[in-house]
Formats: sequence, C-alpha cells, structure tokens
Amino acid sequence: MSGDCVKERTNTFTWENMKVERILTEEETRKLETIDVFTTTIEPKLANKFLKFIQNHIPKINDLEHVKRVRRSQTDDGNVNKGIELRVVLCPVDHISKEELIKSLESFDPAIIQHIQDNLAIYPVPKHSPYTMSQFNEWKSIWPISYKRPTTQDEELTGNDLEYIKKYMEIAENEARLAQESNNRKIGAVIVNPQDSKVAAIKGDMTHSLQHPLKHAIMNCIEAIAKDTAESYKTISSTSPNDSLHHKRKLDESGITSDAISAAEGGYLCQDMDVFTNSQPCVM
Amino acid sequence: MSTQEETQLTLPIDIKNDPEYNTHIKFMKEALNMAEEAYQEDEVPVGCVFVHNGEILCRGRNKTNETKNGTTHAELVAIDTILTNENISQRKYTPDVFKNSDLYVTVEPCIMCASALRQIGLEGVGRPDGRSPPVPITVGGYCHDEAIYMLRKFYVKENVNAPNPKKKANRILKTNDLVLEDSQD
Repeated sequence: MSGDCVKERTNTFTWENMKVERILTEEETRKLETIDVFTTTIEPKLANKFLKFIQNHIPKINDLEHVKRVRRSQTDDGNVNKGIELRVVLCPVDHISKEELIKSLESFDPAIIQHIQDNLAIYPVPKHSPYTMSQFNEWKSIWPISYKRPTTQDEELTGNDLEYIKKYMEIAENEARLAQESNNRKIGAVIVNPQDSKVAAIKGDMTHSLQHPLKHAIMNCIEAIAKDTAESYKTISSTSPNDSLHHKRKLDESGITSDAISAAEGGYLCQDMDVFTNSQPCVM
Repeated sequence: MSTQEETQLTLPIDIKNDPEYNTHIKFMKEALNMAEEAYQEDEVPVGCVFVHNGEILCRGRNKTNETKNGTTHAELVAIDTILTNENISQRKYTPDVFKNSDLYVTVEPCIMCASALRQIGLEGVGRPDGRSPPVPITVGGYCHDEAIYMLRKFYVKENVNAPNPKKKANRILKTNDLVLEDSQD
C-alpha cells in the first residue's frame, strides 16, 4: 500500500479530546508573491494631472486593484532635496517594454519627461489582494495596498455547526469501528445532503472484506449514492414509457434535455454534499 | 515499461525506434476502441486496457453518466471487472495481478486514477501524450493524434449530460493538424 493512504489511527477517538478546526483556504494561507511594476516619481504639485494622464495613456492594470497607485515617502537626500517623494505605479513590466512606456509618457509634459525617465524604476508589489488581516499587515510593508474583508470569508464555527459535525462524526466513527471488526481498516464515512440533513450514505472501509485495495470508505459511499440515483432514474423512465433512456437524450425545444433537468433536480452526482470521515482522505 | 526507477520519464520520446512499437500500437488501438464505445454512449470518450503477460487482462471505459458515479473513470471500471464484488473467493486474479500489468489509456490519468494506480501497485502506464505525468513510469506518444481526435470529436458535439449543456452548433471538428491512419467517421 502506498503512502498516499492514511495509516490507521493509533489514538482512540473521543469527543473530549477532539477539537474542530476550520481548514484554511489557499487564499488564507498564501505567502507573499510579488509582481514587478514600472514606477516613477512625480512632483506633488503635478501629481493629480499626471495620474489623470497615465489613466488614459498607459494600459490598464488588471487584477492589481489592491495596489495603491501612489506611495508617499519622506526623502532625505543630504538635506538638499528634503521633502515628500511620490512614487507612482505605472504598469506591470510584462505589459509593455520600457521604450514603449517612455514613448507613451512623452506627450505628458516635455519639461519634466527627463525627470520621469531618470526616476523610472522597477519595484515589486504584492501580486494578490490580501485575504486576511495578517497578510495585509505583512504585505503592505513592501508597497501600500488596500484591504477589504472578503464577504465570503467564513465566520467561526458556531454551536449549531458543532452539533451538526458531532452528530455525523459519531456515525462515521461508529462505522469505522464496524469496519475494523471485519478486519478492514478503521475508517468510516458519512455523506450528508446539507439541504435537508438527510444521510445519503454510510459506509466503512472494505479493502479487506472485498479484497479490493480501492474500496475506501468514501469511495464506497459515492458508489452507494450512485446506485440509489441510478435506481431513481430507472423508476422515472419506467413510469413514463415515451421517455425511455434513449429518448431522454434528445434535445427539447428549449435546448435543455430532460436528462439535464432531472440531474438538476436530483443533484449532480454528489455536488454540494458534506462528507464526514475519521481519517484524512487519500489523493484518490 | 516496468523498471524499478521511480518517476522516470522516457522523454523526449523516440517511438519509431521502440522495438515494442507494434505491440504498444496494438494495445492503444484497443484502448481507443473502448473510448469509441464511450463516445457512442455520450460519455467523455476515455478508454483503457490493462495488459498482463502480453494479453489483455481487462478493459474499461468512462461510465460516469451511465452509473451516475463521477468516479467511474475508465481505469477504475477496468480494475473493477477483475476485482468484482461478487464471488470474491472465485475470482481468477488477486489484486497483485496489477503489479505485473501495464496500462494503455487514451488520456493522461487524472489525479484520482493516478493515485488508484499507485495503490494497486501498477508500475507502467502507456499514454498518448508526452507531458509530465502524475504516475510512476509512463511512455507516451503512441496513437497521439487518434487520441486527440477522439476528444475533439466529443467536445464539438453537445454534451447532454453536462450540468449546464452548451450550444455548440458553430463548432467545427478540426483535423487538418492531425495525422490519422484511417478516418473513423
């Protein structure tokens, strides 16, 4: 057996020693990635005019809405040019060549084009919009960015969620014990339709009892649900003789097949269902 | 195709000089026949054969629509024909048979099937394209154009089993960049 599969748990499961944690998404755990952009400096009194100009003359920046266009910093260049420096993001370096960029800036103000060219520099800025506050705090140190708390971000698990999880985890755990009694691995799974909280399948590992290395608990659940679904399809087609499986495939006037309609009604395979299992699923 | 070295790739492939070229083509054609069967049933056309001691051990083709089971990909269907759920004691082979078998499949195995193939101990996987695979040892390039043609002809027709079927009346089946031995349509 390969390392892909989780070995049997050694510690005994109890609700007292169990802690439910939400697994963080890729966005939430993402480390800082940067993208190189052309920047230049501009005198504060010309800043507004320059920003309007570049909006019309330089390719629009897509997917970098979180990056602030202007970075304001104190300069202290040997007390001669002491003051405020405004550094402006022009566009990502892979959008345009340096020569093209300079050319498109030329029509701005011939008097200061030399200044813009002299101060043209490539800076790294955060490539992705920060998803969490800690990402925001870390990433803003390389370039100013904005942070909007995502509306889809999950809240902490509530008491109702915990009750829901506990109920089905106990069933999965019990199924795991039954599997072990038949010399299978101690793994059980429950698939639940969260819409109506109905159990769609409860199955344990059967790799030993079926002498089949792929009969994992979750795969067995999926198979059981598929069999139920296929049965209900048969019932539908046998009750309407003009609607045999073959005829069902034909397109109706609206272009939607009756197959597609019934698939939508019965759920598409196991889409949107919840799985409870006592062991981390393997890659399969 | 069955060496002990892990994740070894025989790329870039030089299939013309392969002494087993004709054997691989023969079994790839069998896999393509299975894909054709899937195509005829409005399934995503993927087919495969497992070969043991130079003979076909089992065949499989995608059955996800027929079974309403999204995991019944060609490879898993083929494996289940050997490891049947009924009469386990009268099975002709144990799961170990796959350790000395080769797989010929018309598309690079998905990550689920790749993991399944590892778990049944398969060492060699033949595959029609030549890109980096998730499976231990692969040889690619055999029936390359036929395999591409199979998928193209599926994706120009409307997939009535898709969750949201798309109208594809304007799509044209492109074949001018493919070299096909005999036209199948």
